[in-house]
Amino acid sequence: MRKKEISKLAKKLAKEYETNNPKLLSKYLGIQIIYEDIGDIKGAFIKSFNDKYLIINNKLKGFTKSFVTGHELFHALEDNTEQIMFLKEHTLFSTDEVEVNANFFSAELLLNEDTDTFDIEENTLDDEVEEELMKYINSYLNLE
Amino acid sequence: MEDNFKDRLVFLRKDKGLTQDILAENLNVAKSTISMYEKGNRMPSYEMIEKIADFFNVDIDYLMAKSDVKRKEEIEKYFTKEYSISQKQIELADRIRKKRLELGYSLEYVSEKTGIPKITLSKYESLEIPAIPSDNIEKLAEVYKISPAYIMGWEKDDKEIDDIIITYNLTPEELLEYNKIKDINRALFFNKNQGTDEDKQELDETLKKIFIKSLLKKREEEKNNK
Repeated sequence: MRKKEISKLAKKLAKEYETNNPKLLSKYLGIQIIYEDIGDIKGAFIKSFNDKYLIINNKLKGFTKSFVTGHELFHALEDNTEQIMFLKEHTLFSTDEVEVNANFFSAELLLNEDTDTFDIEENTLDDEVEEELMKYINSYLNLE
Repeated sequence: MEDNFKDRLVFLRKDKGLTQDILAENLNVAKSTISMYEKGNRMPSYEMIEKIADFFNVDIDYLMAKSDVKRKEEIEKYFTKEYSISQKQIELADRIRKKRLELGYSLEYVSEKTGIPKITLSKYESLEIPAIPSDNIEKLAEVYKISPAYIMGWEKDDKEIDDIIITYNLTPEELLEYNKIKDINRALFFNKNQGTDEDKQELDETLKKIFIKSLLKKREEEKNNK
């Protein structure tokens, strides 16, 4: 099951670098983060000359910002833009799973294992991310 | 600096990027004649001086190094506001030059393909001839594979001509990477949300910034590896 692998990856990273903060992890992994006002777009991952960049909307705050960073970090770790482009161009395979996995990774990373909760500061949870968290919790319930 | 006829002739010729051969051809004289003029071994007749001045579009006084003003008439026109190159013409000249550089075409190549003399093309690009006849616009559009309306600035092309390509003098490999990065569909968006057209434009600017940043880093690394 892919989800188990992803979960392992998240836990491994958190242990190795002694943090589950996606911003710090990106820094340790040599992935650069650029904050820009990109309107309705929350975040994006792009590679340029083998350098990996996360573009994060500078209007995001607290948990939402962390979640989006974690999500884009997963894309950077997977580093399979070429494959995804290929699938998009040449096949009818849905690339939704890529997004599902990225959200799953981010949730796994940010879940506080001690309390089994997400540490969300007041008013920093946006609707879209909240929905992703709900999906995550449901998927966990189904898994067990 | 140039201070007599022979020096001015060499300067004007090189300034236009012409060889002695090509200049000789245009003036209907032997190459050896040009060579002798440039060495100062022979002075041209008055008729020839006029012809040369005409060809380079400069005053005879300038050619003979008696004045530093290339075209007195144009300066006067400029100050009397008769000489009004419009913003549109400036942009048009800019577009055809950038498009040519973007495609990596030399003036010679474009001249060959369009049948427009090289010197005329260079005058279009430098605004010495600000009004380009429509048949030549069409020829240029064909060679550059763009629409005449785009050259005229009547329509915006998706592939807006890019300063980065020229400013950073991108190598073919770098250009390839640049085109990849500029293809916004390649960015992996959060939940595939690509935002509005406005957002895309904003993102496009960011992508360009990222490209420049990584380009400079890559070049620095290449330098250090040498």
